[in-house]
Amino acid sequence: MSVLFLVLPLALLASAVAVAAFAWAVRNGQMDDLTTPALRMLEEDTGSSSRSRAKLTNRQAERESSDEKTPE
Amino acid sequence: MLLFGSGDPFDKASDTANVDSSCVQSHRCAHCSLPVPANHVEEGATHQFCCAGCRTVFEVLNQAGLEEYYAFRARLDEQPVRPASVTGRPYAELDTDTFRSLYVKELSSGAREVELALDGVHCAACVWLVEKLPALCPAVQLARLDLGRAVVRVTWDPTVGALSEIARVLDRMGYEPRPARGSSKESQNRRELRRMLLRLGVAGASAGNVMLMAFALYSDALGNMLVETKRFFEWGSLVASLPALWAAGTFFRGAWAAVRTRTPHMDLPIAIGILVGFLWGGHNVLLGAGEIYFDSVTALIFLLLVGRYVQRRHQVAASDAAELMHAVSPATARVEASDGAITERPVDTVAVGDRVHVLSGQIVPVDGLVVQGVSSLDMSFLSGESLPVGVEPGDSVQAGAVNLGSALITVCERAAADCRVAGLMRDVERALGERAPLVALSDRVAGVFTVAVLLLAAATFGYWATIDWSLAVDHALALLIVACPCALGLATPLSLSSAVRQAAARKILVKGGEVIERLARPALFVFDKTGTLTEGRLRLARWVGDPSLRVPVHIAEGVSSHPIAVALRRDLEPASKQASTEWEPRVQSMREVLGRGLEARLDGERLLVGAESFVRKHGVELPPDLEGALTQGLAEGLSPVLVSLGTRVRAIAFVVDPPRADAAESLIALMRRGHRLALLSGDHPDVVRAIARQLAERAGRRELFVDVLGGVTPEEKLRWIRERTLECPTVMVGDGVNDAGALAAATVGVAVHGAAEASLLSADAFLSRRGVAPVVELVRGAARTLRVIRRGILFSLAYNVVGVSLAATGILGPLSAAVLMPLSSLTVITNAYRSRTFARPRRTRGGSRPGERSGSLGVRGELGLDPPGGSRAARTAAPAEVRS
Repeated sequence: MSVLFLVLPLALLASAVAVAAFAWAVRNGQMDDLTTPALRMLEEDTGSSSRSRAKLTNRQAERESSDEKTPE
Repeated sequence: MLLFGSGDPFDKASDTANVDSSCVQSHRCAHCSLPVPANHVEEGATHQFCCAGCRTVFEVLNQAGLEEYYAFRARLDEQPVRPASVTGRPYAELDTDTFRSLYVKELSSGAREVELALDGVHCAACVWLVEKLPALCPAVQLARLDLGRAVVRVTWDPTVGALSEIARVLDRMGYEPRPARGSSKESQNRRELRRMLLRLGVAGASAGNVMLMAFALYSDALGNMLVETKRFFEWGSLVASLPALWAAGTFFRGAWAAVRTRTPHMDLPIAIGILVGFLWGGHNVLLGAGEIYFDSVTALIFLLLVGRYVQRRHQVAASDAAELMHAVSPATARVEASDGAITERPVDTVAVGDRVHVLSGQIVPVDGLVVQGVSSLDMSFLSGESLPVGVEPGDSVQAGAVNLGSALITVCERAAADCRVAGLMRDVERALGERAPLVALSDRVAGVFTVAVLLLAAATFGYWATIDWSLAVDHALALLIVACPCALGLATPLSLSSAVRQAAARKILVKGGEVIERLARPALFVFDKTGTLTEGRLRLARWVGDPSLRVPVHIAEGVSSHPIAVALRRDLEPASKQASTEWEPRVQSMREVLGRGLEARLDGERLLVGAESFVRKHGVELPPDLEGALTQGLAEGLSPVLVSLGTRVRAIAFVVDPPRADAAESLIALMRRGHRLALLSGDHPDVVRAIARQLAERAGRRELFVDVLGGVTPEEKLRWIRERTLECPTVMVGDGVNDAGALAAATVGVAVHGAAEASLLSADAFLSRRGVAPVVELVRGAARTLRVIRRGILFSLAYNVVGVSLAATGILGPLSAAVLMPLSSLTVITNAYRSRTFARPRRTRGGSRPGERSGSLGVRGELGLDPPGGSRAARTAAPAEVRS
């Protein structure tokens, strides 16, 4: 039974990590809109140069838009 | 397909835009029923299609044997599909400083961010297209669409391009952009929801882990677990439940507030239950003896948080939707400088004495005096008057009126903040602030309940303490847990949020759950007339006199865009095209006298069509029989239009703004439910009385309304409602700026389809379906919801009574109490979510009542006679500006 003494704290630690991840997701607005991202995966990425450039700027701009984080 | 069935979406978008000009009216797409462009029409084919996409869908459906879809679709009470509309507006106001300070966020990188609400986004293709904005508009760095709210967040570089440019691109794609209200409230809502979700997640994780360990402990019922293993699990539970204690902070705050204000509140027994459970559990863990309650306590916290989160989310969504629907840009005014140059400036900056140009179709931006031009103004939103008012140089105009005729030049008399509309808006704000909070049913029950539970727990403890101290704590705690009004706490929020959601699906937007409770009680329903009980659109009611003049008048009225002219032109249209072409060459030199009437020559003789004063001014004689008809018509509340040929009046056309087809039936339905009705309008008292009489006649009653008042100013409306609200609950139903104050002052304000922004802001519920019937549906749904809530409360009370009596006598231990508790919650949740409140199958009862014309008229109202919702929304710009 002594294995419990090791496994239980590990399990709690794992769920703590999960909760931390959840907290990060909530604070970053990942949970604000649950419908659109599901549709976004339908986008075709045909890899034409102009589009991939658009994607790139998208990503950059997303990184810049830092004020989305909740000031706590 | 409304949007982009196939091919390059851009081509299709511009295609749709041009549809109106290039299509043959008689061909409608068999799939999407949009007009088919001329170059797509196939001669002789049974089915016409507007694009290859529609054809494909049509064929797929037919091959699969699903053509029933089209019959099914026709039965839905959906409005007909309208092509994506392109307004072609310049959107210059989006670049103004006023707009920027209201809606635009500056990012640290120098880029700017704005949220725009888009009309017409509804599917994955829209998401795809809108988010391709950076490829179409070099200035845009990022475009992210939230489909649920129909709001796009655009980040752009102001050094590359202006926001108006981006708006024009969106507009060209068929998505009309509007600012998505001030960002402060929005981000406040978002932050609150995020915080609640975070607490919910933490409580859930905690409850789950504690429950796992609790199951291990339950298995020790036979007592064969090693003592140290058991102790270990107990300590683990204690640690794992600590995060839930943090998540329960909102209950502690609520309970503390209840203690401070000395009002019994739901949060109080919850907080006590949680606290006692934790402390006694912790005490037992430390001593290594007795039960621990962490499992039931954490589950309780989690469930309660779920209820609150769901309710809040639905409320935010509903009020978001209502506000987005009519969010408008700050209005601008065309101001003429001393050198004659005309600049578009924000209304705020217009000073007294400035010369302001008001183009045809625009809203008067500030109160002023007309110095040039003759026109007629639609004041219906401002005063409730159904007929336009003519103005000429020297007349004063009020901000918020819509210029229907030709361009006017006015001199500003009052700055935007001092205009009458601004005063009305201040009244609205004051009335909103004064509204008495209603003690929700569940709170009232909970108050009594709280006191009862606390007394019972104390009594149980006192009784058992004489026997055994530890047993006393055990039993009192079992009572607190079993009585913890978990179910009671869930019953109301879940039922309400379920109802709000179902109502939204029926296009009834309710801003808060408590509105539903307020609506369920018998009340005085006060209706506005113009635009609410009536369509807000004129129609020909009767034609008296020479019928041969109908066609010439129809032709002559073609020169004018005055609402009366539009009504006459539409309703006098001859049955055959031939009659029209025959008459056309005989009617000549038509000339509109703005705001008064029109003049033309029929076979060389002078034809005058217009108001009595206009026709009489030309020295035309009124024969006695027509004079009789005129007085009779006036007494009936009709508006006469005199038609004279030569020197004699030959005919009188009476126009009227008729009541909505479903008005009488709906009013009767409200009366049957025990509500009283009143009619309150800014229109002429005769007209108002006539409408009341007409409605009563249609409904087959002598009197429908307990009060009928006409010629009421917005200020009087507000006062009247305020006085009545002191006596009994009132429900105000209206649409105009003039109703906004009354909507705010009433117990419940209901804004109807096409309402002005001001009334949307002050109303508690918004009906985005046309007609009066949704009001009845709202009331019915509210009553049904209250029944569901009562049932839920009854369930949980019954459960509590049984549980508490078992616990008090010591039959029920804390463990079995914890097992029973989720059971009651489950009953209540099922009750709340399974009950149909607003969503109900449409029952067709039409045809069973003889003499009821509402069936066929209803269809006409829905399809053919479509009041221009868009232009009504546009009229609200001025008050919005004033508000800001």
